Amino acid sequence: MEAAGRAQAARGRVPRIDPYGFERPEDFDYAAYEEFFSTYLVILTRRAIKWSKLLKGGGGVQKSVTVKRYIRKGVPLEHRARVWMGVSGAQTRMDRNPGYYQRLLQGEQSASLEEAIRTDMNRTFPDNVRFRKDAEPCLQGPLYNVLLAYGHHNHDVGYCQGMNFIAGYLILVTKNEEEAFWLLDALVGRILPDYYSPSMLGLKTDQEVLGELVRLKLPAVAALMDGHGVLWTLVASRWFICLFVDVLPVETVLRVWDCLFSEGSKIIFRVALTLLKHHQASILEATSVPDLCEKFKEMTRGRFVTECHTFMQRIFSEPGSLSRASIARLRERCRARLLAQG
Amino acid sequence: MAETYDFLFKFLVIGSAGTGKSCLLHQFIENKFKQDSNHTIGVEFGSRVVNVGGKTVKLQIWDTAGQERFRSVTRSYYRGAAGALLVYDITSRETYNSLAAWLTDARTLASPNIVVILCGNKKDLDPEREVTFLEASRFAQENELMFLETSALTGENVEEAFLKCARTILNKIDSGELDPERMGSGIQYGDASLRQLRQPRSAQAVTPQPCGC
Repeated sequence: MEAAGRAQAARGRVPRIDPYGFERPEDFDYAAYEEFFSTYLVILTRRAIKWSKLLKGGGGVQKSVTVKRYIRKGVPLEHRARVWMGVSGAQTRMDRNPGYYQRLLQGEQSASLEEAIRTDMNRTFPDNVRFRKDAEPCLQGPLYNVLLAYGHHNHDVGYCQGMNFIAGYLILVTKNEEEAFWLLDALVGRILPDYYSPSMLGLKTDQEVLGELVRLKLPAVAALMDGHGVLWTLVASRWFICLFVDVLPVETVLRVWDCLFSEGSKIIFRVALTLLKHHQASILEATSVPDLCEKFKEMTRGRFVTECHTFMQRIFSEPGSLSRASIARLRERCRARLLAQG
Repeated sequence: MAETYDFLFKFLVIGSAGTGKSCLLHQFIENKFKQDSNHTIGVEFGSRVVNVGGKTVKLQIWDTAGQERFRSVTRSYYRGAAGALLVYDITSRETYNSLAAWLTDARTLASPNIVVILCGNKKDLDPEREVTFLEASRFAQENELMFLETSALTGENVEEAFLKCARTILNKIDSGELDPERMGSGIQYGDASLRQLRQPRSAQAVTPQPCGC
């Protein structure tokens, strides 16, 4: 009774729409969120003061040991665009290519590219009030532009489903089409291996790499997956393709992206392994494929992932060492295996 | 508590992007139109137990992303599917034109015996129609497919599409055309004790008999 009362009160205090425009789901746990947020707010304030000092005097953000450490502890929303632009190299490219983005939009046309992007417009964040057709201003326009420009900029990739969700988040954070474009270029062109090209070889490779890492670090989970004949595609393709968008809570995704821009794609493996390790016991209870699917869904909900600050600390401790060199070796091996399979 | 059923069929929902595959599945499972949802990435999963001709059948349905390049990722899920809904959008000729490619994928990757029902979805958008009923039914006939026009929005023919496909599979089991015991048939018997009760003959037979009803 008392708990129900608390939940009701929390529902009254926590807005139904989050700061990014997403409607909170029906089953959103307002009381748990409020409890978490009251402690997180203290951390956010402390970090904001530190960041303001660090960034005093304007200018770009350069990679450094301090910046990396700061980023792991979270970038305040007001500085996020600037920090992502700085550490990813997007700012440098934007400065070196003035007017390039606008030229892409005014240049060549491709009916098939336009059609493919248009098909997904109403299916990108219908749960976000700023992406609705009747929103004022409606973010579908900027989203369409960023994806179209990127398709012309990178012909090998064009448009791949999943990029819409990523570009959508970039627009929500930067509130600037051109910056969103250059950040998308940093991710798709440099930070991630070729996830989005027509062969999707980079995606398939990384799914295999995750499989290998799980075999090494969580052999019981690997054995269970093998036993049920479940491929990592089923549970993990979304993790890689959408970089956890629509998988983890928004705030957690942004914290993961802070590190993704600063430290590169191996962060994705850290997040994946942390989720799997933490939920190992529950996963091992699964007795069927549908059961396993349900476990994987449950894994991305609840306190463990909502409490983004502790979650981010966990991703650097739980999976253990994960050197750049070993990831590179695994990628090379898995890629060769896939190519041999044809 | 474990569900009891006589058979479990593996189904696929395939077709080009934006044809309404996930909405058909959602309508079938939840009995309502899925309004506000992101499009599918990779593969999603749903299931429902239905009653067909006196048998309870659990349909295990794999819903796939429609964009061309995702085929190389989703194709590993085709293996051993017993049935498929092949979906196009009646208001988009392009989605109709790619049917042959999807069908080839299904027959080569799942099984040559896969039972396919062609679904011309978005029947509710008749004024914007680009593909006539007649030409689609001709395509279905030529390729030995069943055919229905459906609307995931209103629910029209959605249940029928899944049930028709399941019924055909059951008939083929009855006639011996499909052998549930063959590896990769996409068909499994339900609870083992249930199976023995209902099929006393199969205990003695060297080759398992299809249930005779």
